Amino acid sequence: MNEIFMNVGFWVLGITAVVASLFMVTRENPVHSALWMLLTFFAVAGIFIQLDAEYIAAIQVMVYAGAILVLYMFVVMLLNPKSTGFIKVPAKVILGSVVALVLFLQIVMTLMGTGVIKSAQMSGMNLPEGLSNVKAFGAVMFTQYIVPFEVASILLLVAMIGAIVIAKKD
Amino acid sequence: MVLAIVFTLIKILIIVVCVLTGVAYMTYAERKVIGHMQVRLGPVHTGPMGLLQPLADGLKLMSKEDMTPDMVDKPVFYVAPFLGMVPGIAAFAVIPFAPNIVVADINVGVLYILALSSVGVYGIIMSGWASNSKYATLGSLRSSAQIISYETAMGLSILGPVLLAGSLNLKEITEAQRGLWFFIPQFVAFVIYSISAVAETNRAPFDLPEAETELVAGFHVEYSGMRFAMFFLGEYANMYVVSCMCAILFLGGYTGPLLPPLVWFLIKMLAFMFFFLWLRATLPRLRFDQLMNLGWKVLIPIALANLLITSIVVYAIRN
Amino acid sequence: MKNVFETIFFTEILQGLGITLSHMFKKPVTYRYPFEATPIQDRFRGIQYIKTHADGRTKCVGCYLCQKVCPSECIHIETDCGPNGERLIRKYELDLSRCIYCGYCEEVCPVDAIHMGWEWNTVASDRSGYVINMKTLSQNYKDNVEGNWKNKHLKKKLVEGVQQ
Repeated sequence: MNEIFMNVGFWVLGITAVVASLFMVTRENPVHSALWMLLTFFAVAGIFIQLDAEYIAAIQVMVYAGAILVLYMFVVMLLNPKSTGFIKVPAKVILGSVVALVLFLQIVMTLMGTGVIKSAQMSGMNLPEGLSNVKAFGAVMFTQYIVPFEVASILLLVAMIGAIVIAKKD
Repeated sequence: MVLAIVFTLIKILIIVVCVLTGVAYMTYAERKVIGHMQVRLGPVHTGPMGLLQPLADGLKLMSKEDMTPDMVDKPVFYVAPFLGMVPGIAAFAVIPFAPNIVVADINVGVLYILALSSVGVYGIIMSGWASNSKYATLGSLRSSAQIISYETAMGLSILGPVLLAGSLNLKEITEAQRGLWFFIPQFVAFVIYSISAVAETNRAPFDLPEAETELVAGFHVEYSGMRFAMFFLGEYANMYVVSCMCAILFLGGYTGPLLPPLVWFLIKMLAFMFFFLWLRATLPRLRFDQLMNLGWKVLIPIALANLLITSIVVYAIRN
Repeated sequence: MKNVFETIFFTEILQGLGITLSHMFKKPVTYRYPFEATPIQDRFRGIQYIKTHADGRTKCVGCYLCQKVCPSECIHIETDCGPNGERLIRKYELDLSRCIYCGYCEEVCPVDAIHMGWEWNTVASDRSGYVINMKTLSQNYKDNVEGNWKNKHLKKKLVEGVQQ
């Protein structure tokens, strides 16, 4: 019973995510694109919840939907870029398709190489004894992956300082 | 299994009905409290003491013509009110009203509510953009900038109690306050939370998005009838959510002597709701640059300092 | 130093909050008008009345001064010569829809006949009742003296003012 629910939920969320992202790249109006992207984020967050990764799901909604996409919307609303639709510009389409295809193949190769797809299943991850999702996440983040974490934060700091410098230069 | 689902659905229904009634009566309370603070009476005619006023308002809004201006972006225009209202009501799912009255006792309750409140901004942005009107656009830009700015301060101030309790689960945070309510050790965070909660819900003195004198009514200027009512429902539901969060994080949630837990929770929540109305009756509106200065240059640094000190103290005590 | 203290602890905002809170427990100053009397002062200028002698004859002598002084020209008087050479008032009309309640007629009257009363509710569903004549004006005097108010909002104590 529970498995059926999980499966139905996964298919609904997955199809929503795929369809919404397709709509996102094909809309002519950039604001509509951003809104379809919002739906994609929600669907992905739902899939995360199904995987018992509720922390990631909450952060996904908070950071991507709540902060980053809002900034996109700001830019799109204020600059109001005129889009003529990407189908009318063949050269760019070909270039874009090639890049996308290469990226896709790379992702597939990486996934195949690590064997994630074979072992992937619709079940929660095994948490260490006595640790909730957030605690387990924090423990791993600040012990095993402390260096990448700090490097990423320095990257963000540099980007922020750069943005301030550019904004200050009148 | 089926029984559990039905049971949950009934729970959800009860909470939604309670929230909507609460929202309706909040408008009544607002008019009454502000009326008395201005030495007036407030509504008195509809029903005894004007108690049926929310019902009359609701009927009026429902029977009004639902107008759609010509040049609006129709799908977005229609979806926006729902996106404004749904996050406010959905947030009640994780709030523990009493030890056993909670729809979903999830581990990341705090994050869930923060995520929903950050999604709430879409209703505002979409309505402002889709209305195709300069007042609505300006109102929605102001509002979303304000919400994003103050959400940072709010999140940072929430982390204080979370650190003390060592959990993101709202029930565990409540239980951690059996001995001492967190607003005493976390007084700075409490003040920051109160200020940013008012700003987050676009209430006076931070109600710039709805500045009637300059923006007519802000982002919902083109809406009428039930769609307009939905924005109102969303705004008041959000007020209830931040009040519940304040009660849970700083005032000990449902804990308290003598009275049953639910009563304690409601008392604390309504006290904070009264604070909203009280502020509205007292303070004039801020200018937009003052608002941004307060958010970014005062509240966020103080909240960061508070977070740093709290984490050092917690670390020292735990080890 | 004091300033820093005030900024940190929002003393001024707290003062303001205190003021609004104390106002909340004051008695509201609202008059719920159609259901409740609004106070009327002694010098209130309402619908006119014309005093009568004890035997019911009007005090008005038909001197036309009120018609002359009226800025909105709402008083219309016609007089005639009686058999003994006295002046008869054929017609004394006052148009309440024109009257601005300035009280000039009361001031100018040489025989203390026309006065501003305390009744003020002239609202009607048609205009026919707005032009009142000597009969109504005398009746108004009687009503004012007896405290026989059409709208119950007027208080009894005002009767004393009329009799003086």
